Amino acid sequence: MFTPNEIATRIGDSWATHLSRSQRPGTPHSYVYASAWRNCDRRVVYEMTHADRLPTRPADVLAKFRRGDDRERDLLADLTRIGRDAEPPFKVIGQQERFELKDHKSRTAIVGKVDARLEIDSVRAPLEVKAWSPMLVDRIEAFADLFENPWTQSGGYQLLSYLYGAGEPFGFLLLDRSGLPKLLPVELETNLDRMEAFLVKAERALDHVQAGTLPDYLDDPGECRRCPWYGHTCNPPLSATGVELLTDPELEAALERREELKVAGEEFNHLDRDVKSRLRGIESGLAGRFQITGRWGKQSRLELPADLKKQYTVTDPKGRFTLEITRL
Amino acid sequence: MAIETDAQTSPVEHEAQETIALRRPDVPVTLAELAARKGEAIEILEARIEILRMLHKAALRAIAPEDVLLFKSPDEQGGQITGYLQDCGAERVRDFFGIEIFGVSAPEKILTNDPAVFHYIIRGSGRCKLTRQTIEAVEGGRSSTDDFCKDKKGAELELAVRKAARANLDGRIVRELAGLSNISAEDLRQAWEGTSKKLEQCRRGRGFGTRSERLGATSEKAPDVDPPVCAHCGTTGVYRPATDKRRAFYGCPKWDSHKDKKFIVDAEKWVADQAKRAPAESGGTPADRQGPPERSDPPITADQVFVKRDRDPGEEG
Repeated sequence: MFTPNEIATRIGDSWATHLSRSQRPGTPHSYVYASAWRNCDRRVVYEMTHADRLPTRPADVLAKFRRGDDRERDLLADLTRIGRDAEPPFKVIGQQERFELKDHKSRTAIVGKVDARLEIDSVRAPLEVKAWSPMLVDRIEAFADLFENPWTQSGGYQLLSYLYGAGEPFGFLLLDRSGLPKLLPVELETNLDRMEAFLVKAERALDHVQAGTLPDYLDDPGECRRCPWYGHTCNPPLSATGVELLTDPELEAALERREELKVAGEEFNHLDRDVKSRLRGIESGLAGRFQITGRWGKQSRLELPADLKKQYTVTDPKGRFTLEITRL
Repeated sequence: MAIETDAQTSPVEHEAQETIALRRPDVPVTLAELAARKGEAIEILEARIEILRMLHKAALRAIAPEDVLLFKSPDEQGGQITGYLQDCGAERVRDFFGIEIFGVSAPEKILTNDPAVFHYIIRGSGRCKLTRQTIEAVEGGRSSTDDFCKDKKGAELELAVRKAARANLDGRIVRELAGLSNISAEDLRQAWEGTSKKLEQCRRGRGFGTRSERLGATSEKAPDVDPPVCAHCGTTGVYRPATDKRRAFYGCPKWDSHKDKKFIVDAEKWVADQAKRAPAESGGTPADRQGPPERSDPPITADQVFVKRDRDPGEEG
């Protein structure tokens, strides 16, 4: 007789086996998949020529893919129903339509399948559905945010190639979330430089495949760390910057003094905030041996509607700098 | 060694700037140059040593307990505990030291008579930007019989061994150049002070008994009585067999958390005491008293777990 723990373990194992059985090895191909934007050209070439040599994926990853497929099907079914009563009404059409993009030498460079299209009036806007980790989705406010993260940038290029291939000026990225899904509009014109970069990359990769050569290594250890080809097929040199050694005695003395004052400083800040919040509004008062004097003053603030605020919001990738100083 | 200064810098200021720059271990300096600086030379050397010491500490602080495998020398040789930084941990400290890996060869397969048993070796060189040290033709390698290959076969096994060989090469170069080949337990403990990382969270290897003992079981050589409980931390004592120099005893496995308070119980005396106490106490042994009461219910069956029972409307399930 099995214990409950044994039963749970055996069911988990069978589940993993079931998912692993559905796995098919990749097949080498002469073009770049629309979903396969990579920072490293060498990786793009490996994925074209050595696709059958990638290690099998763990069952846990396959389960995530399965969940993604399920969510895509469900969300498209929901959208079909929603479209009938929406204003303006829309239809979900052209699911899994294949498309091809040619390069300057008329070779098939990028190939993909559009998840679906939304037909509104005379427009047939491509739609890509993604069921990424909630941690990733929470950070995405606008389409440009996709390119800030190595795990989402390929999805951005994928949708752009659909728009480019279909000749549509805009499309949508549908992001699955625990609450309402997020529908991000995507314009091709403002992202044409990215699309051009993808086409050029694909063309370079095709050239290498035809010549039987490999592109240079990418000098980015972070990228290599994430790469599934690292170690068994690709063995690049790795660089590292090392910590910056600051030997200024004045700076060292300032850091020492800062450390000495840290506890007292934190206590002062805490008390200061507490006292000032309690005394807000008291224009004249006395507390023990302390006289309190306050006065109201004008304060101007800009209250903009959310859409206008968003329009004028600029994000500087190096605008914020967070320091953590730890005494060793 | 010369540093660039503008025309307005006085010779005294220039020398002071040079002295500060020389404190960096990555700035090359010869013994003759140091000797010419007389008293300052000692200060420069001390500053360099201090920087390397702090770098070592910062690197240890970045390591996670899961990255370290602990080894223990035999008790009769002092029972010193040292940590081995595994390949995954070496990756975390590579950036601190600015270690570059270059001249990496293609992996080389070494076959044996058994087709299922093979090895991969891969060579490469390394350079540390901070100490300017270089090592050449370092070998990394892994075998198809290693633990991580257990459930793999065919091409998957081949790829896994090759990938692990590269990881081993990277790890070896980093351990060597960062001086982290053999980390003392005390260094780790000091570096992890003020963090949630503890030495007890590290995996235990050779010197910590059999596999089951490392996972918390009692030593097979231990007498068949319940062990005493440490009076200082409440942890169940561990049996230490007798050696040429001392008798068998029970000690606290967490002795290092209360070094100032020793807990040592003579094993022979403890066993005798337990034998005397057993007939007198029908209530059980010390371990029985400390452990949870035994369940008298029969073990639960699969039917009980998976049986579908009817629910009333509104009842949660």
